[in-house]
Amino acid sequence: MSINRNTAPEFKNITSFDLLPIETFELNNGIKVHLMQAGSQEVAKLDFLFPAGSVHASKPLLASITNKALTEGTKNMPGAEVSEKIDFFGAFIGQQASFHHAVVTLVSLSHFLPQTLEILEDVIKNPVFDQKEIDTLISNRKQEYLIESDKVKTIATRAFTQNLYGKNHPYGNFVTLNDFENITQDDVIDFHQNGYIPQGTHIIISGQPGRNIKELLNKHFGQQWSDKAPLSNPGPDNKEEIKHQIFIEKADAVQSAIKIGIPLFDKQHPDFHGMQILNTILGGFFGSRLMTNIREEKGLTYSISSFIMTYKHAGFLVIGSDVKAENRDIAVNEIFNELRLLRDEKIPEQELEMVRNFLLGDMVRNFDGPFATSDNYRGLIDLDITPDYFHEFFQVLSTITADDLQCLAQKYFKEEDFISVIAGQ
Amino acid sequence: MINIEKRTLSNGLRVVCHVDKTTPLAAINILYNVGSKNETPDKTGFAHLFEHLMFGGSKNIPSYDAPLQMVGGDNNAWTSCDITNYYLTLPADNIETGFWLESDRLLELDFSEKSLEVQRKVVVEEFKQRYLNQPYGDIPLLISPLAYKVHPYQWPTIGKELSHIENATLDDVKSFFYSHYAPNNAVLCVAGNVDPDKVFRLAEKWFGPIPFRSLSQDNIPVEPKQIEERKLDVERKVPADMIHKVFHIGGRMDDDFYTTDLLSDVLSNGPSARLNQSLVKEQQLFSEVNAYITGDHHPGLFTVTGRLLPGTSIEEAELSILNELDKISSESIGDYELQKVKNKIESTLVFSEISFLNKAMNLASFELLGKAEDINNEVEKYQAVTSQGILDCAQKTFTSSNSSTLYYRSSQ
Repeated sequence: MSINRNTAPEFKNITSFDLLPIETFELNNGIKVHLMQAGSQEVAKLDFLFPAGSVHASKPLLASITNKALTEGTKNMPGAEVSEKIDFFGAFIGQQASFHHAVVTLVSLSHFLPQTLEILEDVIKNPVFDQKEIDTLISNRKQEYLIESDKVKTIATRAFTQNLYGKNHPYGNFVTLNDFENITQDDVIDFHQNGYIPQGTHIIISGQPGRNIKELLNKHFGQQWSDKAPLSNPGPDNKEEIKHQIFIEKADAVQSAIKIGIPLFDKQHPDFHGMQILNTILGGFFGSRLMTNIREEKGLTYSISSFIMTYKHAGFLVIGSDVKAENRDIAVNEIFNELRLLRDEKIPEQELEMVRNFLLGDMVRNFDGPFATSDNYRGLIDLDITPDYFHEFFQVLSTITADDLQCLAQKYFKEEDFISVIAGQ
Repeated sequence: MINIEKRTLSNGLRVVCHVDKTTPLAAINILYNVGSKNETPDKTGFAHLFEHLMFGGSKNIPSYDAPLQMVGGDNNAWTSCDITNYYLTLPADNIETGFWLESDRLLELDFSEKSLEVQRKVVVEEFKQRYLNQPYGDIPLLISPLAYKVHPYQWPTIGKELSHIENATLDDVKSFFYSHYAPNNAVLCVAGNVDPDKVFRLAEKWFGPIPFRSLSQDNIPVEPKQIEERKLDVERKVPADMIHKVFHIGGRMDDDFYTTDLLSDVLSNGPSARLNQSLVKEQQLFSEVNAYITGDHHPGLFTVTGRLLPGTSIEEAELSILNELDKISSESIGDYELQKVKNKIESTLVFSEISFLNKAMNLASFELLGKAEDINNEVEKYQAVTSQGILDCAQKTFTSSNSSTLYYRSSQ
């Protein structure tokens, strides 16, 4: 059998987008539950999203310290016992405070859910926030902060967001060593009472939690354990002047970190989907313009990429890379060159088709199975957006033209709007 | 239970197929039995550099990535001290594109001076980004040569030094390719929404015509038994001291692998594990501790490592670790604690069976080491571990003459 290795085999295009059905219901106290029941393994993941993110907190670090301290001991058992039990059931509790929510995740074998949910109830409702445990968390967190502060990439990222959102709003990511001394036990107790409440809380379930999951959740989380309303969460006021060039010297750095970007908008903006596709072409995947030019043709860096970050009422696009000092200026020039090309020239049809197909495949990957689906869905709940968002993106992706993309580049990739941050040499 | 079907082609390529109808996708994973352990001391980092070159185009296909992206696929690869592993995922309907791409780069790479020149630079920047420009990034460069004096595990996968990468020639690269990349030195695993008959037919069609290649006989030296305690003391501009302790253990296929793995779990898998509770929570000496084994094919290492809190001296830190190791070497662990780590392993294995890509990688790896079907005996092997076994293993492993210790001090 002779085969032709020069020609690609036939392939099929992806022409539809299927989202796993999401069942929604409310617990007796109004907590909204989103259930994605699927999968061949008897396991389940439950994400609890509480209105206790950093935008709700009065001080930096308060949201994340409170979130981490939940598992350090309850009225009924010390922290060691909480860990001991969760580990014994082969389960896992994840904790993470984001901007708009504090998340507590339980991953458990389905048949142990009655036991693991009972522990989780205690952790969420009855933490004691022992002073010693808070101190331990703060000193460990401070060390992580110092280590992060040593990385040029982190230095540049922090400078970029501070520049956009100021030092007073959580989006700015401005934390000083002083902030670690300013968190008191009372702050944590108070923030817990006001943030870990039924109102404004969501539970996202994926996997095979079993038929009685609604009853189980009502048993542990369905009572009106607090009648408080969520804390306010103001957006940034954007009063400060934005600088367009920032250089932070770190003389001993082997490489310099580059962050170049522009303020954009939230996910609800009519141009958002188009910009997401334009961003992919620019630096959103291995075959992107930036990766092809700056890594694969010139070998200036190990990695270069761009991404769009969105908050509830804001967003930005940023390009990032680490390069050796002597290549810094060439890399920066090439980045602006690629932005100019997107403004000046229409994207060739073949490239657009490749990016379209790649992103369609990516959608299938991102929504493959209950766990991947719930991770993506969680990002929407966090920002109060409905799943229609995914279908709209699929529509835009299937129909967008090279002309549309060039228009977007001309509208948003104006050279004078870009902010350049360099950390290193 | 993971379903498995297998064939071996006449050129020696082993093909493993696993059907998972819950996904619309498929994964193709191909591993080559070559890693940094197959390098010579004067040309280190080659297996990894070579992984980069595998994306620079092959004999009949100028670009690897573009045609895959065109059919909705994505891919990546990694290199360890033992193997080089390439994987891609795509809509199951388009699986033939994956066979076409993977077989052409095994048939013959497009050895271009330009691709080599670019990837040399990219890997040098990777070396800097990961190992030189990160706090604690150079620990692998320090600990490996302390623990190994003869075996190639003495250098990390990225290589011993930048110059080895910078001086790589096209001839070096070609000879590396033909002596290690061969159907008879690879395992192909396809997992996902596929039909096994079609998979084997496609494997025969695209990989069948690639000739069997005679491989270079690497004489990998055996590491002699360590008989003296080793120490290294360095100072770096980092915010906190770290201690890094390693002990020699057996290889992945040794009988006591499962016992050794559970020993490391008792010490540090999960927040309730001994080192976390004792050293981080109760004594508050460390901000973070960890214990893990490498799982390397040849005899590997048991690592215990921790980052110190301000106020803890590095000597005190070492003593506190040694106390815990003494304890586990003198008193056998109770039934409850043993059951806990077994439960944890069992649920970890259940979770790992959710992803079809994960299964493809694991099946290829099991096939290389023995047979793919062994994946279904893992739980049983962990369940068979006894507390006496763990005690024996701890006593054998945690001796000072079997240890290498790195004091990584902060100069700030």
